[in-house]
Amino acid sequence: MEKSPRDTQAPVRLLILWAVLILVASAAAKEKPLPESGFAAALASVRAAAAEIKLAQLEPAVSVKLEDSLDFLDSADVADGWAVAGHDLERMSAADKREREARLRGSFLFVKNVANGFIRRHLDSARQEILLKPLDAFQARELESALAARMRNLEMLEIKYGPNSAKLNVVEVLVNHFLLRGIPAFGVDAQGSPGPLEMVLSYSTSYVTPAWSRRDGTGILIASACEGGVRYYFLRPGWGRNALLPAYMAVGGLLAAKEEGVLRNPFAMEPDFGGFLSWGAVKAGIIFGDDTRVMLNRQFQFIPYLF
Amino acid sequence: MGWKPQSQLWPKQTAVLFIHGIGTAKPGSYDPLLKLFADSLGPAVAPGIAKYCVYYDDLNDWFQDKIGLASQLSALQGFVEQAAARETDPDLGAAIAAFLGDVLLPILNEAARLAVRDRILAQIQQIRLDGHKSGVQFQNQKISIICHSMGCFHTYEALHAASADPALQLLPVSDLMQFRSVIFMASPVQLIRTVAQEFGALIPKGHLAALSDQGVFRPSETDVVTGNPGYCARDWVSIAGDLDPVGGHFFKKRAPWAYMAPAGQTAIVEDQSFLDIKDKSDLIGILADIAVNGESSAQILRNPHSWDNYIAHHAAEIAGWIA
Repeated sequence: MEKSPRDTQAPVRLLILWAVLILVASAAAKEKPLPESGFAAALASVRAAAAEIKLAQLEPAVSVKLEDSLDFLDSADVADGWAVAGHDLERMSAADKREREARLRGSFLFVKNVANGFIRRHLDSARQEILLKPLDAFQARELESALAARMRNLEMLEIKYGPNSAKLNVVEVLVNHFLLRGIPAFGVDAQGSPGPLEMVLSYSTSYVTPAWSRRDGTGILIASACEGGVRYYFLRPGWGRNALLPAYMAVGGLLAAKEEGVLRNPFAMEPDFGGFLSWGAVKAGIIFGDDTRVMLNRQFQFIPYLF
Repeated sequence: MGWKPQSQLWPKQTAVLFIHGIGTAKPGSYDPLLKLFADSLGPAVAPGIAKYCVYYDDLNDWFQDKIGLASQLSALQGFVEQAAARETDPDLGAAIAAFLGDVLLPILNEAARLAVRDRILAQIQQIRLDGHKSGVQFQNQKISIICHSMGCFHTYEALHAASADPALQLLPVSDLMQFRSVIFMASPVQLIRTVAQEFGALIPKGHLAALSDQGVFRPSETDVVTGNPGYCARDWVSIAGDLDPVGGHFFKKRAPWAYMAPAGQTAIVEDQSFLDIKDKSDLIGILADIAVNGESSAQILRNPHSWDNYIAHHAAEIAGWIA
C-alpha cells in the first residue's frame, strides 16, 4: 500500500516542532528571567541594560565601578522602598549605621546616574521602557517617599509658623529671627527642617487670678507681667490642630507688677517673681511671696507685634 | 496640614506647572490665566497638556501674622528706590519701589521661603508621580514651569534644591528630572540678589541659592560618565518687558543689577510699546495706581508687569518650548 504525501509530511512536521521547542527552551534557559519589581529587580535591570549596550567595551572603568556598586548594593539587604535597614544594620552603632547608609545611598546614586544618563542614551525609547522598567518602578516608589517627607516638613513648618503658632512681638522677632536663627534648634537646620525652640520675651497685659484660688476668698485680681522663657513646638504629625494637641508649650519666669490692673509696669516698683507654664495658648502662672497666688491667661497680642 | 499638592491624570506626555507672583491668590484665582494659556495655544495643543498651579500666598500670610516684617521690608524698598532713581529719576524710583511691594519679602525670612520652596518641590514630585500613574515613564515626561515675578525667585530656589539634594529624587541626570523648559517671566532673581547682598547681616542667607558666590546660574548635575553637566532644564528662558521694573528694566533701560542673566539663558526682551506708555510720568502714574489699587486699578490693562500679556504674546514660542 502506497503512503500518501500527507503521511510522509507528518514526521517532518514533528521534527520541526521538536527543533523549535528545543531552541526556545535553550534560549529561555540562557536568559534568566528578571524579577519584576523591587530593589533587586531595579539593580538587575541596570545589569541587563549595561550588558545590552556593552558598557564594558564602551567605558571599561565605569563598567567596573558600576559592577562593584551593584554587587555592594546586592549584598546590602536593602529593603524595598529604600528602607536601608538590613539585619546587619540593626546591630550597628548609630554612627556606623549612618556611614553605611550614606555609602549605600552614594552607590545607588552612582548606579542611577550611569543608568539614567549614559546607558539610556545608548538605548532607544522602546528598549528603555522594557529593560529599565523595574528601575523606573523603584524610582517611583522612592519619589513617593520623598513626597511624603516634603509633606511632613511642610506640616512641621505649619506647626511652628502657621496660624496656630504663637505670634511674636518685635523683641522676640529680633531675638528669634535675627540673633538665634543660626542655631538649628531655633531656626532651620541644614535639611530645611524647623527647630523646635523659640525664645519667649513678652509682656502680658492681663493675668487673672480667679477668686477660687485665693485663700482669703476675695474677688478676681488682674496683673500685668513680663515673661521670659522658652517655647517648645511639638513638631510631630497631628499636633497643632486643637487644644488637646496644641502646636506648642512654653515654660519660663514671670515678673509681675505689684499694682493690680491691666497694662501695669512691673518695673515701676519692686516686682513679684514667679513662673509660668503654657499648653498651647492657655497659660498658668504662679507668683511667689507673702500672697502666693495662681494666675491664668491666654496667649494673645493686645497690640499686634508689640504685646 | 491644609495644603495638598494638586493631582490629576495626564492626557498625554506634557505637563506645565504655573507659579504665580506676589498677591492674594488662593486656589482657583489663576483659572482665568490657565484658560488664557489654553486659548492662546489653541485646540490642537492645549487639550494634551496637564496644567498645574501651585498657590502659596497663605504661607506669606502665616509669616506676616506671626512675625510682621513691615519695617525691614520698607528698608529694602528704600534701597531699591535709591538704586532705581539712579537709573532713571527719583519719581520713577519711588514708584518702582512701591510697585515692587512684597516682592522682596521672602528674603527676610528663611523659614518663609523654605516653606514656599517645599510646597513647589512637593508639587513637582506629585506631577511626576501623576505622569507615572498615567503610564508615562519618567524618561518620557515633558514637564515645564511657567513662573511670574516673585514666583520666579521661588522657582529658582526650588530648581537649585532639586539639582543639589538627592533626597528630593529630582536630580536632572540620576532621577531624569530635566524640565523641558522653565520660562521665567519678569524675574526679580537678580534684583533680590543685589538687595540681599546690600543688606548683609539683616538677610538670613542659609539655603539661599540666589546669593551663591557663583552668581545667578543654571543648576545642574554632573553626568559621571562624560563629566558634562546635565542642566535642570533643556530650555531656560527669560522673558522681560522693557517697561517692567520687576524684570530689571527701568523705562526701556536695562539695569544689570536687577536683570537675571545666567549663562545659557534664552533671553527675550519684549517691546512693550503696545501698552501706549508715552513717557516716564505716564509709567509712574500707572505703577503708582496699580501699587495702591492692585487688580482693581483703572490702569490694570496697561500694566507692564502683566502675566496675562506675557503669556498671550508669546504663546507660539511657549508651545515650542514645552513640546
